[in-house]
Amino acid sequence: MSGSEANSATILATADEARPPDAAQPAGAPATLCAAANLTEAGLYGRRWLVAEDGRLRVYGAGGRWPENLPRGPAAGAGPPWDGSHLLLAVPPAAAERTGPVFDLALSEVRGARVEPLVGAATLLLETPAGPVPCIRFTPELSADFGLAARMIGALARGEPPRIDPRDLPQHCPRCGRRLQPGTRICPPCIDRGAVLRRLLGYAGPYRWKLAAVTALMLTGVALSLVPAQINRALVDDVLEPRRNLHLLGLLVLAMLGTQIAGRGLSVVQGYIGNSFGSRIVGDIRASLWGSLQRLSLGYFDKAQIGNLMSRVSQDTSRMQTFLTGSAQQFLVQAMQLLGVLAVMLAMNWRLTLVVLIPAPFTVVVSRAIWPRIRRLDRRLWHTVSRLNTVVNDALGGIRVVKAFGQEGREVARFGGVNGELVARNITVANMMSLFGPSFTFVAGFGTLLVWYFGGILVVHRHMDLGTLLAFATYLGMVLQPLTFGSRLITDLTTSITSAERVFEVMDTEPDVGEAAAPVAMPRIEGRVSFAGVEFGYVSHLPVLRDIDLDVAAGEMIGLVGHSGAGKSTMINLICRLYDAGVGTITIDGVDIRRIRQDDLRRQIGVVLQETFLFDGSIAENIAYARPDADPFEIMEAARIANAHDFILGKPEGYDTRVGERGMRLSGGERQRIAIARAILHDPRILILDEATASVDSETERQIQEAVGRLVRGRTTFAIAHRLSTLRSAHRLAVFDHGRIVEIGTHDALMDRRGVYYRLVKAQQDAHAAREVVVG
Amino acid sequence: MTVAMDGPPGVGATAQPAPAAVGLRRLEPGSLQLRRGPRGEVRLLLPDRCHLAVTLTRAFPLSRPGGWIAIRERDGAEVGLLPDGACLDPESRTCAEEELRLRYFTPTVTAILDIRDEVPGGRGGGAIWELETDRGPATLHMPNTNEHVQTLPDGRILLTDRAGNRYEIAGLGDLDPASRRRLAQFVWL
Repeated sequence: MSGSEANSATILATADEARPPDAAQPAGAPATLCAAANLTEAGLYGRRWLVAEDGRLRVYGAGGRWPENLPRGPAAGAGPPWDGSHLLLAVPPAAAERTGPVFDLALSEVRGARVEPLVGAATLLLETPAGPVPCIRFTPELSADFGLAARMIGALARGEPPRIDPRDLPQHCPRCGRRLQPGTRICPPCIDRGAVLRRLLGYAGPYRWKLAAVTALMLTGVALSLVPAQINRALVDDVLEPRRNLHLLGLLVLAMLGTQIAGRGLSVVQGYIGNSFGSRIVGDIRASLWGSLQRLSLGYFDKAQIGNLMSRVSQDTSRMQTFLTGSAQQFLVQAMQLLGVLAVMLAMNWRLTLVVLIPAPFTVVVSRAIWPRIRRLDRRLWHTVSRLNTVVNDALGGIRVVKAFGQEGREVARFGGVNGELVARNITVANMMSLFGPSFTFVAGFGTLLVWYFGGILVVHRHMDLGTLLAFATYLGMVLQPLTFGSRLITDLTTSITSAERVFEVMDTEPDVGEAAAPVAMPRIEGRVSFAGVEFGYVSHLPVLRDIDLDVAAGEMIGLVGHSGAGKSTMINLICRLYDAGVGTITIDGVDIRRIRQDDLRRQIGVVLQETFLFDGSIAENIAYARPDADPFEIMEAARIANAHDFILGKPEGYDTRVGERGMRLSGGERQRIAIARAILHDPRILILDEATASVDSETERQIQEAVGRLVRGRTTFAIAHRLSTLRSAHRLAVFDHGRIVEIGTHDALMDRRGVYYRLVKAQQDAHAAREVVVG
Repeated sequence: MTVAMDGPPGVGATAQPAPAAVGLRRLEPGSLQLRRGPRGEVRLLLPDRCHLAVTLTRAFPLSRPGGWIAIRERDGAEVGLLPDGACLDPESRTCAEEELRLRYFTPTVTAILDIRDEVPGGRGGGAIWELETDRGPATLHMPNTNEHVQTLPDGRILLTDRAGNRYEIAGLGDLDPASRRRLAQFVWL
């Protein structure tokens, strides 16, 4: 497996924890398990330590300090692999620090343990012959830790090695040793901002000539922007004040025109180049992010939430774009302009320069104080707008329901409520802006008043020319501009670095379900599938499947039966290797599924899902999705076997009929038969059927069943059906209950047993009968 | 917040019995007793039998914290629904209050010491709150103030954080002016 397995196990002993291991251990054997909790028995915040030692399980209150960062767990690459003999998630408190124990139970009385989630808290429950016993309490962020502790307790109680996937052990920042949030490898305090920026700028590599051109244009632009004030000065000092040199007037005005044209022209060209280059860089980043997302395994998408990922693809990249095309360029221009203007001003009159810069720090302070407030208000306003949108969306999407229940009046009132709120908040925000804008301009403009006063004195005493004073005033305006925007630009920089980090994090994530180091090529799978002691949970401390042992012969059809949520779909996900089981092994033809070359595996497993997903395209393209090189005859043959050929030819555009987004233009039965045709063309050795018949009329159902019957022949098949009657053709049925296989056998054998399966069948027959009564 | 059973029970519901035969069982407060077992588990004593370890779940935790409490076996099988916890005998009532207080871990905020942006400059909307609560000091990380601050019709404010912790502000009037001011910067009140 991946490098994370090469973990060190001696979890203790970081330099900063600075507690010698022998001091942490009281007399007797060292603790085999220690975890820290943060709630007391009375439900207050407080420290509690769960320790397994001397064959007993104890909870101590301790006077010791709460480990600021829970001690270093297996950090990547250091030490020998975890041997499972110890699980120290916290530093066991030294004997002198211990108070209690407040809980004490012999391990021999414990059969197992599990985390029971409460509301806003959770409990570790110990299974004892006398029933479950609550042992220690904690807030939800510690659930994962105690999930591991529960497994360790189970292992200690049974005297077996713990069934813990090393990847579930807490990960620590290799640099500072802080514990990382599950599912991320980023340690926020340790981010090297410079490195992120360098990587971001690395994407500019291919466009370096454009970058150079933009920089050159910027410099020229800044130089040009300094010229008009000098022309003004000459105009006043040499023409207007002496009231002569009329020949110069025309020249100076022409020069002004020239600089205007050149300056504006330059900024247009600079904008063009800058825009194309910023957008392309972000385009490159977005494409590479999308590539990374497609490569990642399904487990990542469960943990990451789709909405979050969508915002990374769209929002974060667009923030980076705003930065690269807007803020970054603006920032450079402003910074260069600031330097240029200051240089010219100092050259003209350094004393006056120092005087007029007095208000500058204030502007910076004021803008730093005001911007976050305005931004916060703005964000809250945005949320109110989005709530209004939700109301509209809701009511329009559910318009049939609204009409059917005659609730139009209520919807109008609901909209009115949110609308009124929005109006009030809009006014608040607008008022704030109206107040802040002018106050800000006032502070920023204060320097100009100083120029007029002190400069005026200088001019009256003839220490300075009038033109110089005017030029000074103009330059001053140019200094204040970058200062006022400066702090906002810095925030922009911070946020785009954050966005860049989030994007790079996705790019850097290794897929959990990776290709083995030396994958086994299996050009033709026979189809023997076996599960041995498999345990799996989407979140490690809440197992969905437990103790799964199942051997399936090649070509056998196994029906998976059970209530929804019993673990049937999870079984399917494991067979397809959308996830890897943390504990136990799954083999195909005797080879561990994790070692089989992924291409070979994917090519020989076919899936017909409950929700058949068709892509927008023609029927032919959808049938050939897994084998784009299939020739038209093969496609039609597959459709024929799937009983789809006739209805497809009945359509005016035949196999070229577009199915519409998600196949919306086809009926449910048509979509299913196309999905079956797709699986037939794919010709898998192992087939997964997830409730292949749903709500269709009986003739269509007969056709689908017939198609499924042909599809199944000669392949190992796992079939989930909620209607048990559709599983008649299965060789054996595996009955799932609360994540375990509780019964296995043929339909008849299971009916004779009068167990879980029997009750399921009876319940379904009753429901069916009830429906017939209602309908008939 | 008073975790106790002070919420109004379903007054209207008492008048009309639930439709028969859907399997909901109504427990009469007079006919049952709740007691602590030796290991801290809750025992339910009914006239005809005894359940050794039950859990209590509020059906309407926000609108009726004291009414309609579901009593279930550990495995989720429902024993019945208690319309009003206040009518239990004193010992049972204490036991139920304790159990609910443990199950619904919702510290009440007594002061807001600080609210600051998670990212300097406030982009992204994340905020870190430093709170003083009736169960001790707490720090919560809130991804955004929009979905994680919920104002209830009776004026209580419910805060939730990234990890799933829950905190409650009983009413604005209970907070000191400084806390109120800090709150107002981040939340429309």
